[in-house]
Amino acid sequence: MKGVILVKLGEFVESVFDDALWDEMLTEANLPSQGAYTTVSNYDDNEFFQLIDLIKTKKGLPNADIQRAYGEWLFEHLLTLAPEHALIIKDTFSFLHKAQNLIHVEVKKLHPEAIIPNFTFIHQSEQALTMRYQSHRGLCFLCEGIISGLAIKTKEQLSISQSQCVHKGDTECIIEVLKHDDK
Amino acid sequence: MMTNEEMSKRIDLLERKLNREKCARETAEKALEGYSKQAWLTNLNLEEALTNQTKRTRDLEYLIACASVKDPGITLEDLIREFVEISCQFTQCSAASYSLPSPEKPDTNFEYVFLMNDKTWRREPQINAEIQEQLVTSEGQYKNKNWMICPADFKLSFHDNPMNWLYRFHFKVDNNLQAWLCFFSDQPEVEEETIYVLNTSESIFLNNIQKTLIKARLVRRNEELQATVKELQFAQNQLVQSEKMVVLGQLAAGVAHEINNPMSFIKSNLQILTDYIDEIETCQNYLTAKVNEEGTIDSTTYSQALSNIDYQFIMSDTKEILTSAAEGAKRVSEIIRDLKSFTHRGSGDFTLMDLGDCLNSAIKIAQSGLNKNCIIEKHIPELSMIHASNGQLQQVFINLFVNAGDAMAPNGGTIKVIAEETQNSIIIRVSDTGCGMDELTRNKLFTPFFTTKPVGQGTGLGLSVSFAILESHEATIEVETELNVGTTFIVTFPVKNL
Repeated sequence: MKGVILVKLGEFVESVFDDALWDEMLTEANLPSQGAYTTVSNYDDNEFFQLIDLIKTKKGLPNADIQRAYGEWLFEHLLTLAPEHALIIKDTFSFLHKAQNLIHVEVKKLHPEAIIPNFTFIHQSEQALTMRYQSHRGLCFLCEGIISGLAIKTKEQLSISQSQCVHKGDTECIIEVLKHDDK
Repeated sequence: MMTNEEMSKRIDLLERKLNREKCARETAEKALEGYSKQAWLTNLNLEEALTNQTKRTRDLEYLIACASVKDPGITLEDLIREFVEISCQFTQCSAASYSLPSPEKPDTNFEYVFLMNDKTWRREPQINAEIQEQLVTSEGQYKNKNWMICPADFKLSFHDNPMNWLYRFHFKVDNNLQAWLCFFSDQPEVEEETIYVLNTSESIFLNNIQKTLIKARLVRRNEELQATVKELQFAQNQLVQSEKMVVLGQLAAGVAHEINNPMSFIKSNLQILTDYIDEIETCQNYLTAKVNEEGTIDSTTYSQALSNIDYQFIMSDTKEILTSAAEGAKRVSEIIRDLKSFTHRGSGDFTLMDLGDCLNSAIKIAQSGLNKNCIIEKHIPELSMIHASNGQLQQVFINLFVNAGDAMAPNGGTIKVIAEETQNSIIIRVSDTGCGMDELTRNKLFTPFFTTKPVGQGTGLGLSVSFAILESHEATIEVETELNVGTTFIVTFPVKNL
């Protein structure tokens, strides 16, 4: 996993809770990296899952909610790292297409070793979008949170849910995005 | 306020945080160093690749220039000059020269020099001695098929810097004569790469030389061929005329007979007229004497005198004789007119003509030469005008009629001449009821000098000449024949919108 996700997770925990929790988590987890994360390095996926589990244990929050909250927070912070042309966001639906067809492609060019999730757009109307989320990491809730962060940026009222989810025993994750009204 | 214990915990936490940050910074610095080193190496590789690429581009541009001969009709000397100019530039030489002997001037030597600094050719006759000396003394350090690059140390009379290298190149031109190219370089080094490229350009250049030599030979051969074609065309025209004269000769007896008939009765009629005039003159003299003797004559004497010479008969017969003589003279004049149009030499005199008139004339001429038992049946409707040579087509048709007559000898038969016009063509069928032809004769029908007639009677050129004439009219000729039944020649002329 790219270091930026773990660096930002630390910033998220410190800003939402406090630095004592992050320190406690890292001390307890005794991770191979010892939590000395940099954005330019790659880390084992398990370190991320272990840290999420520790937040769940320590704060009694469901895993899905933690990922959604982190995703929503992460979107705006990732946006500051993106090149200028990626910052042009018309609306959520078109940005999701842009993420799949442009951003993921460019990331893969810059970091050939990066594992990128794949979006397949199944259905789309003016108000609704149905897409398949595929990633062996199974971070579909994080994805929901990122879409939610995107909606904040576009000032759209959206409801995001999954009609199918691998965490519920389904074979794939289908994310449904529904617009409530115009911005 | 924090307690001491809380303060101590906080300090521990911050220490751990600081350690993680330090650790992270070291990792990031290491990664940065790695990236930096990688970027430097990549930059070095890119620079090297760019240098190589620039060299490759220069090599390729040189090879492309060698391969593309600007003017397809370029002379050998200009081709060599072009190659010298671009090679001089490529090898970064200061000057270059060439020697190109030819069969006409086998002693030609180095005379012209190409100077790289102002890219011009100059005539420097003294260069020959300077180059010859170098060619004798220099020894090659790099050798490649025809190229040799020799280290040198000499000065050219027209150049300030001493020359460090001599590039020499030789190849064979016409008649095994040897041409030379020499390049002079004041550069300190010769790049090994240059030698490989020169090796490639050599093949391209020699290929162009071969092409130019072949082209020059082809031009010469083409000129010779054109002269031969002209001679052949002249000979063919002569042949057509000769054949026409042969046919005319064959027809001469018949034509003479045709002219003799009217001429003999014109002659006998003139004799009769002379007799009549004599009798009228005698009667006139008798009546004049009578008047002189008696002063007058009576009507009975006058009538008796006219009656004695049968004056009534003489007058009516004279009218008939004159009409008959006039007809005879007309017939002779017609025969002469037809013969005139036939014998007229007309290789290129294509005019707008009526094929029906041509056929009728040919029938008239041929008829007189045919056996008396030969009957010509014709069906010639009104036909479109075509562009053709009247004399040549008459020759073709007379030939077909004469051949048809010969095929039916000695018993005679019927020659049918049928003309028909379709949308795009006029078809003339000439058929006979003669002996027909076997496969061998049919296959050789249009072969020059092939004849079935006895020695001395046929030239064997009639149909081959006819074939050539029809070909020049864009007409076709086909044959249908059956042994002992007869033969039909079908001639088809295209009809173009005039």
